[in-house]
Amino acid sequence: MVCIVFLKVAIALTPLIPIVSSILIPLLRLFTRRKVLFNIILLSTVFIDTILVFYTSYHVYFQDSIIVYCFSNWFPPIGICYVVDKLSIFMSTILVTIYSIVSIYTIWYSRHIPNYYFFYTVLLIHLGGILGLFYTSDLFNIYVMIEVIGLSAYSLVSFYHNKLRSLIASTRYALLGAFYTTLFLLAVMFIHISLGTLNIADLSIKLGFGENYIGSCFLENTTTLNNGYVLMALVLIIWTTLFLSAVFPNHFWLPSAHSEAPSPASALLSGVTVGVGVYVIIRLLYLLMHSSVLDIIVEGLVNTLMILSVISIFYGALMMSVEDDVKRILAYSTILNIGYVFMGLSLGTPYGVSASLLHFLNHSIGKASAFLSIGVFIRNYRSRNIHVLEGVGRENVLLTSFLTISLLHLIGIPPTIGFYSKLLLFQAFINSRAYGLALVVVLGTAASAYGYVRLIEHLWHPPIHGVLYRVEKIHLSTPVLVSLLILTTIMFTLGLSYQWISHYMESTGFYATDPIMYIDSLCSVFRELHP
Amino acid sequence: MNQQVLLLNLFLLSIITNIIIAVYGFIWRPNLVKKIIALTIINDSVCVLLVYTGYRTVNPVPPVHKIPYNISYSRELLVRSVDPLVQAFVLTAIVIGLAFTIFLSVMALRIYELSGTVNIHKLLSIEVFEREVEVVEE
Repeated sequence: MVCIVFLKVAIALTPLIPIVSSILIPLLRLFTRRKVLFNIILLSTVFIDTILVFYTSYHVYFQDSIIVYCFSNWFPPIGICYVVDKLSIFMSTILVTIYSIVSIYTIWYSRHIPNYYFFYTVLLIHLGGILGLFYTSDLFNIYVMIEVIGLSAYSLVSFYHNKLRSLIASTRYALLGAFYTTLFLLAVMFIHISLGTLNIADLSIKLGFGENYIGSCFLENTTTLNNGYVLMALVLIIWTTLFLSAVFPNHFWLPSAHSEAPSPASALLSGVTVGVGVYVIIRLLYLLMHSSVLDIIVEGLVNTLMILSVISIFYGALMMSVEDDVKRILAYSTILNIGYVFMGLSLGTPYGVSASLLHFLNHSIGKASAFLSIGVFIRNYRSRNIHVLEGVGRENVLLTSFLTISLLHLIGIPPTIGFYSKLLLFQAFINSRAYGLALVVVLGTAASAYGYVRLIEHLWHPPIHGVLYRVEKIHLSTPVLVSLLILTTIMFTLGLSYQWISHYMESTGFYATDPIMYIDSLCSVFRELHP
Repeated sequence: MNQQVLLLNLFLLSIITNIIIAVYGFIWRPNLVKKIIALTIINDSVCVLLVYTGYRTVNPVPPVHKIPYNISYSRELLVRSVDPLVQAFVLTAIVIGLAFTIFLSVMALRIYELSGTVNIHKLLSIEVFEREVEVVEE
């Protein structure tokens, strides 16, 4: 009993702690200028969050429970509830793991920037926003959290405010973000006038899903259901999601935004923030679209999603092999990998979803590692051009091997976990007899391999036509070494222990496509709290 | 009653026209400041649309979950009240819109200080030029 209460308090506090300490940092800055203090605040906040999330994930995964916390004990469709199930805890575990590793790296990176405390503040707001989005069960709350995530992401992109390029990238990202989130607000409005509620589980029941299993639950409907409005809302939500995750027609802000941000911020934005769209689309696709009302339309939407993700895979692979800016190469690789994730999602089977979730995990680990190690090169040699960086890798063998391992992981070479997600995707497509899409997985990998190998090749070989000069060896400081070692260890450990984790991945996939338990948990809370 | 419906429809039509014009401005105007203004217009129009949907002729019954004892009082409540939820949404949306406007205005100001122009086409050409020429930084 005490344990349950503690868990409820833990999930309510998890998004709140980073927000509180992000307010604390600028206030403390008024009194003191000791950098150690700010480092301690950043690290302790992120580690406390990590511990809380891991504690929650232990309970969700090993005791098969769903934890619900309703603010002020208001019952679900009216009050706002945090619901933590396997899907949200999976995403937030990835988030806090990457965040804690990147914040260790940031300790090194912030030695070179004057206004580091501002950087820490924005990082913590970003963490709080994403955690809030993963935990909430309310559509309007999701809208607000998207705005919080968005504003902090734009501030991270424009962090070097003396560079015109980063300002332009940030402005483009912010203009588009403001426009698309307004569309999301419009979608919220459509859902509210046609269904009269914004709680996700309640929406699912009002759309006719789960009545056979659960029976009537929540409050009676006061509005008239209008299929046209609901369809409109779904289209708008999916369009916003495509923007958040940078899938093909809405991808064009990503390369400049992710490459102009400071390296740790690039690792976070590219590794974790794109997952926001993935989470929202899994949640809504399988909770709202499995209803009888929308059965016919779903097919078309899902097929469109599939085509767009295939286009974004090939577009990303093509641009990777053309681009000269190292960070832009990695940014295009993000578009490619998110294409894979969306391809698995739109298949609609539990195997597809579990494969794409595993692929998202791999993408965030590999991309974080790649951005962090390339960030050290950029910091020391003052350039992002692949031709200027030629031959510097030979002097820094350790750093180059970290980068190489992460890139091989992104390609999908067996001892790392990167191989298994592509294998799972391939198997999922073969199982549902989509042979063309299975071919796309292989072709996309082959096309992208050239882009990755080109990066390594340029770093390793000295310039053919230039003057051969010896560059200075980089001194790797401890935080950098620790963060890169942890990431590389995770890649190999997960890859070697795949037999044990595959069971949990499969259960997450099955859970995410079958929302009965999610609705049932909220219903039981409703019956408990409703007067 | 008929007049009321007519007025409401006219109101809806004007909001939608407003949104369409603002989207045109947002997409086609090359000036960054004008883009920001158009964005503000879109945001505010959507807010007004939200308030409109909460009006009782559009969305007849507000969500009342506890009917008070006094029957006549509750009937009065059901007839006269409007949906209060959308107003809460709009308040939140306005605050967020304010944050966006401030952020974008600061960006536009900073861009003007650095480059001397807020024309999107010129800025993009400068960006492409810088990417080809410049090395350094971070």
